[in-house]
Amino acid sequence: MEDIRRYIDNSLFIKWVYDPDEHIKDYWDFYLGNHPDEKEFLFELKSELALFHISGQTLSEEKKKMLSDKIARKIQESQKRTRVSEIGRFLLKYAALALLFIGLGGGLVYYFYQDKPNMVDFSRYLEMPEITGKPTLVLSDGSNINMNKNESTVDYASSERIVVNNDSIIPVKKGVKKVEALPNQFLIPYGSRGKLILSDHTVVWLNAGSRLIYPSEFTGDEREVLLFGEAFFEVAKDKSKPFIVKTSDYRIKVLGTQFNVSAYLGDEVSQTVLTEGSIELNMNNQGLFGHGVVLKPNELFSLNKGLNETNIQKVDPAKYVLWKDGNLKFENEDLKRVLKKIERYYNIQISLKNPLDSSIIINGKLDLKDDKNEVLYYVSKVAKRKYVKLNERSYKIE
Amino acid sequence: MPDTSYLNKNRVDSYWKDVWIRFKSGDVKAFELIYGDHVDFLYSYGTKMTSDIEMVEDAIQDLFLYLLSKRDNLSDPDFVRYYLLKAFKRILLERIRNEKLWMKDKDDDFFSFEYSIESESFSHDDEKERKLVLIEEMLEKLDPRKKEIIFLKFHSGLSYDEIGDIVGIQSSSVKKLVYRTISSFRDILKNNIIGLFYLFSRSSNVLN
Repeated sequence: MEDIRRYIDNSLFIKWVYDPDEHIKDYWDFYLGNHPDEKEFLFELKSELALFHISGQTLSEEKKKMLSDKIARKIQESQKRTRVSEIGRFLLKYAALALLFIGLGGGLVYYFYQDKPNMVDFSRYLEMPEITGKPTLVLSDGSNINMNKNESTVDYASSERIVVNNDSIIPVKKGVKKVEALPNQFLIPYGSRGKLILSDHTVVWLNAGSRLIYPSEFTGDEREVLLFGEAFFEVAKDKSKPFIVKTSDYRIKVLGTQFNVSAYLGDEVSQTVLTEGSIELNMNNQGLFGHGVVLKPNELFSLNKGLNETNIQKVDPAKYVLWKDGNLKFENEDLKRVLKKIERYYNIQISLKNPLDSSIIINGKLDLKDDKNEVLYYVSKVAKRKYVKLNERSYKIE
Repeated sequence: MPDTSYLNKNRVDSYWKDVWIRFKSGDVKAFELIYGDHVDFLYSYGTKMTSDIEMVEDAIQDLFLYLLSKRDNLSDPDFVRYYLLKAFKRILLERIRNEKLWMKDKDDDFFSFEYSIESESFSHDDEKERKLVLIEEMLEKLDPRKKEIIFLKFHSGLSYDEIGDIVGIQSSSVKKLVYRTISSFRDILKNNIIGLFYLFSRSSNVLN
């Protein structure tokens, strides 16, 4: 009786039985090395208690992520709301908040949709699908194609078929094309990247955690795509058909050029940098701008969503597109933004022990093809900090 | 000596205090950390209270939004899981009660704390399978509150005091119940006599 108590009240023992990992196994190996006489009893008790492994139902990873995103969205919305009205916070019950979110969502739909009623109805795609696992292609008939590689390529350049990763081929359904009920989507989860060749031979590189919505063929007098996340565009020249990239905050109109757009929904700052040619930017909320601004090569346009401030500056555009070759280069970038990029690339979470560290300035170049531990080691070293692995997916910098 | 200090990270570590404070300020990242660390536990606890999966998911969502809405009055807990579970149980019970309003049960334990052994642990090992069947039979005989205590003891990391508080009895009774249950189970497994258990369940009325 005494013996049982000693063990079942020992959290290290309980963990060994129900939730073992390498550390805990090492611990008990070591313990049993010093107490060989307890071996038989301990193993017996362990196997008996193991019979009580009665974890309830488990959530699938997808559901877990979906639920988490849903709650995170509501938290974010409630934050926006509290910034607007500090007093309102005390009065709002969360049930009432839910109604409010629907209202805000509606506003967003309106931004996307207001100026081009005849274009593809993007509004129904605003609900972010969960992007997990490997890159996914959603076809116009609604079917999903899951890629087996983290780095995937999809090619629409031939009108008869779609080529995925240079081998598997999907025939384009001729009948569907005329009606074009649904645009296609390319979803890139965190930890992956994708390359897409559109029907007009425009090439799009998509960074981790991004989503592009586009038609399988451009039929109108404009070529229009919708981007959530980060992408580098190499737009094929066609003066009669301008190419338009819509993001949650602004639209970019081009004739033929190369540029990089970083427009993640959760990010404070949205940036577009031009490497070649010229582009025109128009805020979705036109009131702020009056007219569009024109960006020249080597110029970076940034929008701070919270402050509603825009800014144009001269930069070396190369460092903004290094990601597509698996590199990152930082020039006077703050640690917070650096970590965000690493998080997306490896699909991990990195927390800072001291929130003030987020403004540490980082300079340097990273090869992201390296192991994530190595990358974290270098970044921590540059920041004069240390990194701690909490588990496979989360790290802490202290 | 292998380092096991990481085991305490959920309890007193200043890291989780920071995360909690950031969560209260509405930091989504902090929410995700807390969520990631506890959602499996909350979900498995919830699905033992009700078979309505959607209700459990809604309750998890309500839990976090509730905490955020009360952030100005929230204390900073030593053990986040205990804090979450306490609020979660209340929210879930409220929902279950609303569904079962017609059940004018005087007893507060009207929820069915279903206790079933993971099916994956069944093997082709006859001896093991026989034991599992035996255990399942024994667990079925326990009343919901006792089942809940055993579940929390082995799967939550909560202390006896905390379990007692969640279940609504004194921690010394929790302790007694856990010891008695485990030692009777072991006796039965050894002797392979289910009859002993009936004796046990009649004589152990510590909770009543």
